[in-house]
Amino acid sequence: MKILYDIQEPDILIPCEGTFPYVRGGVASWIAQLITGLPQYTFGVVFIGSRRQDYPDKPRYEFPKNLVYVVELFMFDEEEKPTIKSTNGSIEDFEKVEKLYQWFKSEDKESLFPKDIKDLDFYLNKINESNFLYSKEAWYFINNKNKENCSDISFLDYFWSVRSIHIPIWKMANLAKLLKNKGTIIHSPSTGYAGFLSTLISHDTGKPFILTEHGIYTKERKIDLISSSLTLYKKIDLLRDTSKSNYIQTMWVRFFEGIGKMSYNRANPILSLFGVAKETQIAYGAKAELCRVIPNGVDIVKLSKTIHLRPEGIPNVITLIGRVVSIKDIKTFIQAIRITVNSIPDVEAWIVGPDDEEKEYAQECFELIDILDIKENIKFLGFQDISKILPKSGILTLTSISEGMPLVILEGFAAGLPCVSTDVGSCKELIYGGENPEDQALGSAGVVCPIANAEALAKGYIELLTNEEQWYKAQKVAIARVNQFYTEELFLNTYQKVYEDTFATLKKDA
Amino acid sequence: MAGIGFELKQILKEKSLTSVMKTFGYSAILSSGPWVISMIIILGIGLSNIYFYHTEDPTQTMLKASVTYVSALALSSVYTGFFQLPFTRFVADRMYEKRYYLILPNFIGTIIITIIGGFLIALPLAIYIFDTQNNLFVLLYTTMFIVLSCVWIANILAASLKLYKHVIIFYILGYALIYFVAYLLKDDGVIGLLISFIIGNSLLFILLFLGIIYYYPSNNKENQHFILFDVFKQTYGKFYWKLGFSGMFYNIAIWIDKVIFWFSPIVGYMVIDKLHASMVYDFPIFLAYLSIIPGMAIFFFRLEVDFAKAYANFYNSINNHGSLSQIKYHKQRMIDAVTKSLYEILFFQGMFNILLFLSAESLFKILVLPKLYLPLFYVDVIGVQLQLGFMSILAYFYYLDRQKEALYYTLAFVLMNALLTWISIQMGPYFYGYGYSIALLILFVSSIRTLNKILQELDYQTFMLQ
Repeated sequence: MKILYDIQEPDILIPCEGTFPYVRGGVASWIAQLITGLPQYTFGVVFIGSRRQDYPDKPRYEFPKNLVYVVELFMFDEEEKPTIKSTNGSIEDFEKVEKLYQWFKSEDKESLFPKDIKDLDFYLNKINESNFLYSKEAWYFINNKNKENCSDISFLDYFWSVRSIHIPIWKMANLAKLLKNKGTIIHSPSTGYAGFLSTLISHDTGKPFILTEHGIYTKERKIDLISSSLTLYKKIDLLRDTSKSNYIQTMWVRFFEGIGKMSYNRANPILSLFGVAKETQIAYGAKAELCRVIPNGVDIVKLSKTIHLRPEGIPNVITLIGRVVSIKDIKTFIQAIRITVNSIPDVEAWIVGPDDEEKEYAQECFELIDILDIKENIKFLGFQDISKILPKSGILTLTSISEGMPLVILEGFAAGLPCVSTDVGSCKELIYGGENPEDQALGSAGVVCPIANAEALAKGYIELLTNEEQWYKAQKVAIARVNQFYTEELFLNTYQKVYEDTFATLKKDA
Repeated sequence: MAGIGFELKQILKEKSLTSVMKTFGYSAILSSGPWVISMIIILGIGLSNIYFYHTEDPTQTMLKASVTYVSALALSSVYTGFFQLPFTRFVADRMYEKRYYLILPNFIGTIIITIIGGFLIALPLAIYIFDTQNNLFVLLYTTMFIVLSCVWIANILAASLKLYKHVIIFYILGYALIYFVAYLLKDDGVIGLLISFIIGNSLLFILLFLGIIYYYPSNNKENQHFILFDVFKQTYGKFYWKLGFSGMFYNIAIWIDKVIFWFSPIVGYMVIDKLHASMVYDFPIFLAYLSIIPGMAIFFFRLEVDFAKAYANFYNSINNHGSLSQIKYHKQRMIDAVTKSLYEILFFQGMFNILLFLSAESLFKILVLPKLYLPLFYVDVIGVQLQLGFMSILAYFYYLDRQKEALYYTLAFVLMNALLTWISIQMGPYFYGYGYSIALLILFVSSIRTLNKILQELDYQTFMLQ
């Protein structure tokens, strides 16, 4: 735990996990945008990381003026471990842990979070970290749990998983103690550990806790787990009971679902970026009446000026803005271009983004282009200024297999560019309109296709590029939609309103 | 996307201590070798004295020389007791790392420290003790102290390098030379005997030294040094203070009851200047010590065959992803191995003792010993058996790396042996020997309890407290 920066008391505390200020990406930009855009408030940031070595030495973002407090914690660093000492521990306290486990395991999302476990005191003084790590009672407890649930799996793996699952809980509890008096409002950009920290502080101090979820944390962790379990627990054993060997994975999933539920239980309001995300939150245990969508916004002023730079007619250029990595499914894009070339031989595909992140994948893409004989049609442009690229393009496309809320679609809209995208994250809502009936009434700003379906994508490209009427209609919708629902101004105003309301309720209570 | 790409990686350092401990566990037992050897020799000298000495007043000369030699044995083993275990542990650690080339330079370094320290201790001590003897005597005593200290260090190293066969042969050669030189110098009295001790032990030391050089040469491209002081400079980890003190305490403890007898009025008397002996106490207990040899052999065998294997299986079952019940099973096998070894030394040593009891009278007759010693001999035989048990448990402590427990128990051994021996002297001749035996009874029983607790908690300790 290290305080990096402390010049003033923050109004709003943002705990964030593996993002701002060390890791670039959607959430980090969102945090930077929010802090810079609302200079009337002061902000504090709590960075939660795994180990120091996993992150760059220097922050990747400049600290805005109104960011007044920054603290960082690396949960799995050795020096964060308490000194080793054998103790007895007490059975009663572990009975409470048992109660907590039951709550974690229960499918019933209405069941109340056990009361004594809300208390920070429980984590700091009763079952404190060294109690759980070193006491004999804890050892018996872990033994019994192992016997009950998965007596035939590798105990070493089980033991370390149990530890890795629990250690962050005390890290968060200690952090909560330190941060007790920092900030009037806690605003977490995810559930998970950051959400758990916010929940603890909120329960302990009564401070309001606002949750904005970008992806669905619990779901993302599940994907992580499944992919990691493929490599980690890949023990080919003929006699292994697969349902049991996956117990460790089940444990992790349950843990993340549990701490997710804790956040959903306490946070108000529970915000998301798009409608599907909101539905997923509700499915994971959020109360529907507390859920709301606040989409991201883009700075449309600069991009809308580029509309005048557009040439007459529709350029036969399909632009994909994104890194050349497997999650963006560039290969399907290449195949779709092959099909498109059959109908529109002079079509060009521009891939704008770095190709050195997954070198092997990029190489496979180059080879695919070779095989499909469309070298003339596809260009890798690397990093480019999108305000120069977008006016020269006819379609913006996104072929990803997973996305949250891709800002690039909105940027394309602002520059008057329809979009053909796979049905991931908020893409459908951006192209066909979101929850708001007014939004839906605007119509469609492009085409949405199923994932990994080159034919559907190609059909969308050909349709838009050859049907001028449809293209202009889509452009109109795109410009209208981004102006009406996705401006940075709107985004900031909405958050300002959320903060104002929250501060108002605080005053009223006082 | 937010979220830590969290590490499912098990950040477990596979501290497979098995190999380290294997070497080390044995040396804990072997370190008591010198002590047993001394006892045999003292007896041998005592007996041969009766049979082959023909000079005038041979008993006095022989007694004086023996007592001088015994004092050097005892004091040098206490002094080097401090280095022996930390040094062997250092060697075991290096062997585990497969850096064999560090053994010889560090052995030479340790010998140098031992010699310098030995000189600084022995010279003033000799001047103080032998205040009526000439300078030659003082010089010889100092030399003897230093040579013996070097022998102990070389002995424990050779033993932990498993040069068992060589060690035994070297001892035979060394002591044969003592007898031979003593015979040649039989007209020079005490001085002649001291010289023969020095020459014989020097040969022993040189042979051990050569054996070590032969089997563990330091010539390696990673090491260009002939002498290294890594043990003391703590280059590869801390000096094992606890092991040092427990080794020293143990050596103090096995002598303290004798010392108290030597210096108590009535039971002890002056032999040569400030050195004393105890007619009543010494002979029976030294004789009783001989009875320990079969028991030690049995224990050593059990430790090597059963326990070492069970111990390795236990750690392997953890590291090779065994289930909890498999781990517990191997833990139980380990406990069984300990139980078996203790049971066997108690049983076989007990049987042996009964035989000894039954034949004691005739044995004493053969050895021309007064029957007066018999009751004390019986008590001592029991005490010695208990000491064997206690020693075995200490070996398990060292094996399981429980340095703290070993330290406390060896310290308790010093204090209890001293206190109870003193009380037994106050209570009168009928109780002689009971102090020593009862001290060991208490220590043996309570150390079993401690060992039991350690073994029961071994899985807890292994997982939770690392």
